Amino acid sequence: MITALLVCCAGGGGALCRFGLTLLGNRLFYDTYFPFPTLIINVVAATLLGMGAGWLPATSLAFQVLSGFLGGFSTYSTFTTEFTDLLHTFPKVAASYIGLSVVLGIGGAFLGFWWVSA
Amino acid sequence: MKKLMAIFLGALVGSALRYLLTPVGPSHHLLTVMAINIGGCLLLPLVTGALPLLIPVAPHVITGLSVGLVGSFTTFSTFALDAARLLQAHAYWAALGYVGGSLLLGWLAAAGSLSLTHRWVKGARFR
Repeated sequence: MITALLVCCAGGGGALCRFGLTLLGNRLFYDTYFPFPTLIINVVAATLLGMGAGWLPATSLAFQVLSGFLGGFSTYSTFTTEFTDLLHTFPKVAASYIGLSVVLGIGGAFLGFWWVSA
Repeated sequence: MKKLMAIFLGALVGSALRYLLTPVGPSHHLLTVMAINIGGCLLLPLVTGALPLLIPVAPHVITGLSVGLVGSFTTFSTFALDAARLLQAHAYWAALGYVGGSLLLGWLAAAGSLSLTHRWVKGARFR
């Protein structure tokens, strides 16, 4: 029960971090249609989760809280909605967005896991 | 401040739902994560576009539900780690099916939900 509560609070903290970073990122990257904030957030989250999975036992409280935080921090729904919106207006930007997200996200998780456990 | 509270509360609920559906660890079912992510893609345009038309809700409630609840319910990090694990296990077809299925079905869900929302918004404007 306490584990569940900690995981959910971590998710709440992750969502707040995502909101703050998205606001900041939208200011930094105001002159581009490419959704850099979500890309960076998702790739960082995937890499950190990979590192956590390589370093911590899957059943440990630390890993549960970490994946709760990163689950709240990263988002799949915004990623897909941004892609769908872009596909109509800027198909090339949309294609590079989905390609970079998938390659860097999975690559990050892979390298994070491998780097920590090697 | 109200907005931040709403996001935190929404994310609590979103995280709790995902936690209930997927026990943390490598043992969770990949299809569950896929269903969660695709469901979130279906919900997000409805929450941001159609919900404010159906019932009068404050903007911070919408932000709490979209950025907080749906955003935390879905997850990119687990999706990426699952795919990386499949690649590491040399399960290339499974990895392709998982990534391709998540992307394709997520896109279809978002596109369908977006066009439905657009239709509702247009209809509401001319009413």
